[in-house]
Amino acid sequence: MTGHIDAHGHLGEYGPFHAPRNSADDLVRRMDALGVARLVLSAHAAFSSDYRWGNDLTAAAAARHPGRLFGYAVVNPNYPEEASEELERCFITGGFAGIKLHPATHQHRLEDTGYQEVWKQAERHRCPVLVHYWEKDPWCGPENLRQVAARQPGVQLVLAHLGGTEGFRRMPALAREFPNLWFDTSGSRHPRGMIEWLVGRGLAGRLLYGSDMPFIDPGSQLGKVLYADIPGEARAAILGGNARRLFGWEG
Amino acid sequence: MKPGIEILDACALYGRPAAPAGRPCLSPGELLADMDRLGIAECWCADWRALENSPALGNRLLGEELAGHGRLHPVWVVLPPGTAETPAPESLLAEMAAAGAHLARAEPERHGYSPEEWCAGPLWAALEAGRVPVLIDAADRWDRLDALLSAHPRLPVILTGLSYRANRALFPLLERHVNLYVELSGFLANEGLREVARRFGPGRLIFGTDSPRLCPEAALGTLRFSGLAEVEMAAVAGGNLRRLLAEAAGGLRDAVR
Repeated sequence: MTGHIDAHGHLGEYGPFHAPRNSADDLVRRMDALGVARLVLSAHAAFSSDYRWGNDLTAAAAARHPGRLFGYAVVNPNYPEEASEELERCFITGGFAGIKLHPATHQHRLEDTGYQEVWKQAERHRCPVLVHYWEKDPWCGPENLRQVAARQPGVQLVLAHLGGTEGFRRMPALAREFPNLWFDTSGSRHPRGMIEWLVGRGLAGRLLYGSDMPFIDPGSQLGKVLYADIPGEARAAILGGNARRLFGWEG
Repeated sequence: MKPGIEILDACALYGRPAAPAGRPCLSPGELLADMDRLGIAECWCADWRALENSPALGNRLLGEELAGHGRLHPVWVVLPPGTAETPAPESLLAEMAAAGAHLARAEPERHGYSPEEWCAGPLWAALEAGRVPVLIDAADRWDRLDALLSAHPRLPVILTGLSYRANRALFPLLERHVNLYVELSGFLANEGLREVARRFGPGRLIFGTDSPRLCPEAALGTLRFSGLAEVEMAAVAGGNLRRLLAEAAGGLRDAVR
């Protein structure tokens, strides 16, 4: 399999703002234009009002474009009694490659009990968990993360957005402390020199290209990595090699 | 980027900010190195000292430090005239012309003034008389922007600091005001450039990086992978800014006379 791997995407309409051209077909058309082989996504609906409906949309997109689109299953930690059944349903349905959490949207701290079933199922299915992570987020900031990363060493956790604008500066220390952490590069306000700074501190093997499309235009996110002043091997790892390892798509 | 497309950066920042805001460009050489690596022909930049300390002093120091670097151009940070900290409206254009500054930058939020007529009207009127484009941070103050654009229909306003969440307010504003332009570095709505070009024409989009606050590589990717036709991409990359600056050069000449 050649082409980039995009580890962070979405699907469908979103209430708070206009995110046009958001269908599965739109996403694949754009992936073709950008040289992206695979995108792992969660439907907006899945972390908004109705996660089951959202997971159905994700599954339908993956089925429509097999081998190109893969899903993150989403559950709502405010309804923990439903999580086990829903996650099993997703993994039986097929097309899902991981689990996505959005503690800020659900206003549920990452270390709290509503996520217990997520950690169990992630270990059982050996799938990564992508977490919306922000440096100053009371629901999923550094301290919340530390508790979970230490408690769940068998779960591969992907931190989205590199912690926001300047949050990336904490990532090398987190990476050293927790070998089960990965970091996706999606974000709308990342500053000059960020990718170079992270690669220079040994994180090339832990960074995953993520676009957050269609929240954010993927051209900007690809440019951030493609034109960064870093060695070619680091660029190749970020744009696909690391994700192939994480998702078990090597060979 | 396609060969032959000239890329001009309308929106960069020079110097050292107080708080972390990316790896700063501390010398003209550092700015030029980025530009060479990314294929950017020329760059218009404002100075952090003008933004954070003194617009008048910062503008002057910027001019001195960029002197002799023909690919780097100063952007003047401007204030309304009420406190007389910057040249009065009647002399502003002459002083800008003398300093080679054909582009202004206004940040009402940061500098604690109202962009409305009772406060900043004379500033906008002076710039409008010279057709000098002004970069204004969007800061989601849509009603105030609408009022400014309505009161000064010949003032080219280039919105910076947009986000991927802007479409619902931005599109009606672009519809209402032909003197409104979008600097693309922060405008990361999905397929946003194509959408704006389709609805309002590619002439409304201006390439900028907002470096170092934002990765300049991201702005380049936004443009390169926009899906715009080559002629549209050339306009967005640099043609539109060249056109606005040519109008400003004429306007400044006339105003100074």
